[in-house]
Amino acid sequence: MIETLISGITYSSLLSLMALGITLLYRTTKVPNFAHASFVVFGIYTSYTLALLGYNPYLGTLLGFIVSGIIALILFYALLEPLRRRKSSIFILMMATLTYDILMFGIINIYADYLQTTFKIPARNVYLAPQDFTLIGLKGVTIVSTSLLIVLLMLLYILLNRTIIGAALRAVMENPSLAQANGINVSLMLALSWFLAGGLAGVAGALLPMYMMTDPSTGMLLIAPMFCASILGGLEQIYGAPLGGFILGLATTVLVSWLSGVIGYWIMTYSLMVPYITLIVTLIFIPRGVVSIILKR
Amino acid sequence: MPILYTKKIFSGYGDLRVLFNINFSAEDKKITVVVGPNGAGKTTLLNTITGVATIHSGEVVFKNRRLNGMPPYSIARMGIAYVPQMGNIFSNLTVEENLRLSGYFLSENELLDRLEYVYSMFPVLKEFRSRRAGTLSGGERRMLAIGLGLMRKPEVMLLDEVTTDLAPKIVKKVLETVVRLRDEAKLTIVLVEQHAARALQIGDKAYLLVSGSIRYEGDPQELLRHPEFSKLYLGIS
Repeated sequence: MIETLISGITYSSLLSLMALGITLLYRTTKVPNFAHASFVVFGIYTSYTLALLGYNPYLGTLLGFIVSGIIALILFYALLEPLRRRKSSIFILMMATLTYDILMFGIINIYADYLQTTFKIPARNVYLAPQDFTLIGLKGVTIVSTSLLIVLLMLLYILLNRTIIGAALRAVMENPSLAQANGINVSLMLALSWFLAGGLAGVAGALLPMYMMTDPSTGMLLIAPMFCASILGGLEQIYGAPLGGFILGLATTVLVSWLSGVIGYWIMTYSLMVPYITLIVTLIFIPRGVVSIILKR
Repeated sequence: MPILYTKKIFSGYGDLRVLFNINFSAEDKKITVVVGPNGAGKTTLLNTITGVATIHSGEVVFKNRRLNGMPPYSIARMGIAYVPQMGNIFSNLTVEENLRLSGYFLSENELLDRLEYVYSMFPVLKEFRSRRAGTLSGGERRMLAIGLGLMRKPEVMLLDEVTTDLAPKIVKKVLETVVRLRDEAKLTIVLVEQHAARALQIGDKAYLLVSGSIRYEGDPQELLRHPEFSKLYLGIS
């Protein structure tokens, strides 16, 4: 049971990092970003490539942040910003993120195929857990993912609440046209939010192969839980994302594991349904997320 | 010599055209009042100046510099402060955060100077400096919105319907503030108002805008007696 709980905490931390970016982008650009799946996968292949080259795959968290951040910036400047300037609807912007995601999915597949055919390595099944370290009985990925989540949350808090750039970012979240009228370069602030969100997804992606078997379609598999965690937490508050991430992450792992003991092992097969059920329940009963209940108090 | 003017402006939003052949000018350190019925294009005129609307032809000039094509944030930094009618404060930030944000590209010393200046102009804002701006009353919000504009030490201030939805007593106070902005802060003011009469009383020059075109330009007092004005505002034909 303790093992399941620890595994659940690791998964929840990774999910929180991914959901954080989705909420951030929703707050700034108002777009549900489907390309988040690709941002995560670029993180996966960054740490995998580092491991192939003989480096510590944990370096992938730093490099993955930069790589996925840049992938997000390209999406913003190549597609979203021109569309935004033309006053395209949120629906169009959302479709643009989906299109970009499919494009990036293709690119990652090409890269995996290239590695596989050229170097004869199983680049379509990325699993780095055997290379992970252990410390006081805990897996490296558990220690790194939870501590990175805490550190990154603190840095994000400081950035948003203690710096003038953060205040400008919050202003853009609240009222972009007024922010503009007050001399704030809205486009630059949005770009910053895309870089940060992409980066956070990249960090989570870089850690994923240490936790589970991954491949180019892992992002697509995780996009539903990411959105679910983000909505469950509450899209109106950035810090709702880790809250949603932990509730959903623990429900998917610990709750399902406990249920399998009570009802039977067959229930494990349906663990993938947890995000969807949670999403439906959230949208019906607490559409503004768990954080809205806490804030009301 | 006007500090700000538009020349043969045709503008709107995307392909939609709202303004037709507008020759508008705001004299230095004077109050220029723009009145007109709902939908006349008054806000679009301000949006054209601030770079938000699309200019189809013509030009906007501020201190001999063409503003066409410049992004709104650059125009804001050049010394044109815009106080929009709606959503003119950041409700979730505190009063002081609002003000600091507006002056975010000033140096720390300049910022503190401007803060003191705005607080001296509106002591009530100093009193409520730590309060969330969303909790302020209607009148206080207008003060804060004007304060936001003042933070950047502007030369021109564009005020869009700054007295709308306020109690008569507060309207008087806000208009007195506008006069102070001209006389004490030496600002050039463009005051856009749907409720014309009281705004015209403090104006130095007035425009009547109807259906995207200028129908009158000149003395505000005379506009009050202009047949078109009476027709539009009093229903006398």
